[in-house]
Amino acid sequence: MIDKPLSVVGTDWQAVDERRLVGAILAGDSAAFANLFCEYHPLAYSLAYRTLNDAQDAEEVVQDTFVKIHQAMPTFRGDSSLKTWIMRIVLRLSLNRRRDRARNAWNRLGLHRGEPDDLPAALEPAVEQTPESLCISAETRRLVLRLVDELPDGLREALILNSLRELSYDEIGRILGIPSGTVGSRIHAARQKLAAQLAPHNLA
Amino acid sequence: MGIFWWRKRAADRDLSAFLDDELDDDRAAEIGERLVFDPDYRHRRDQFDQVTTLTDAATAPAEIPSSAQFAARIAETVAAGTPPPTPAPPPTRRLSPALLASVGLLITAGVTFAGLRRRGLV
Repeated sequence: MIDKPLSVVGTDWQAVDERRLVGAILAGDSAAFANLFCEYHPLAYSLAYRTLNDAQDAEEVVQDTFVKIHQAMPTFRGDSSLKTWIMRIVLRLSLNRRRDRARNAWNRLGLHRGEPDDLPAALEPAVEQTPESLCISAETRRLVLRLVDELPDGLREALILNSLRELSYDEIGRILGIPSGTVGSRIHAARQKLAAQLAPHNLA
Repeated sequence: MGIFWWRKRAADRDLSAFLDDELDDDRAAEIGERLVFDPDYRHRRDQFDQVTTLTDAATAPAEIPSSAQFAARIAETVAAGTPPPTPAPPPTRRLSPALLASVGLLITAGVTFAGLRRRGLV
């Protein structure tokens, strides 16, 4: 099992074997779990936010994710890395939240039987000012968000995971359950589609 | 579409992987060399770069909330063994189609039976 308790906050967990970290959490070391949370929270939040485009939804999804991770920790077999395992759960919960949100919006507006040609405002991506977005206009940001939102699910998920800049094609493939070659094809297809749609706006 | 469209598409896909640093050294060197001599290819790279920049800028969160404050809350939650409170989805009062069909059938049967009985047929 574990040689000694892993309870020192600030430990370099990347240098520690993941199995040892999992063992510490299973042994009830709450500081080990807190460290796991601090290690992966920024990446998990970033993925949830990019999928949902809503800060509160993203934070709730991340909290749900880590509660589920704690509950499911005894079943973690180490076949994949902790990072891909956690990100897979974040993505699944984010997509569930996204689907529920869209369904509720349609139901609330009584439009669930209508044609989706003209999206109601409630379904359009919300636009928040972000430090990175300050260099692009609100109009451009709204357009890009809409185009990303309209991508087919498979292309959008691959593009968003890639936009985190912390995952290789191989890791993205393990999260999505597809070969890394398919990941490359999907990211390329998404870029190609976006470039074609942004070109008329002189943005690509 | 040119006769070597599949080669163009493969080169295009490799360019995308090149930008993500996902090619092996030999293929990356080939792409790098082509970028020096092929202006169309450079234009394509600029397009992909622009798409990546815009996508990243548009989808990035305003700020990442502090992990420390949430770590304490999550630790408390998992120690208590209860999930954190999440807002319930707004109630949707939708009757199931099967229930509606059953009620419709019952009404139709009742009206038919009453009509037949009035005429003395049952």
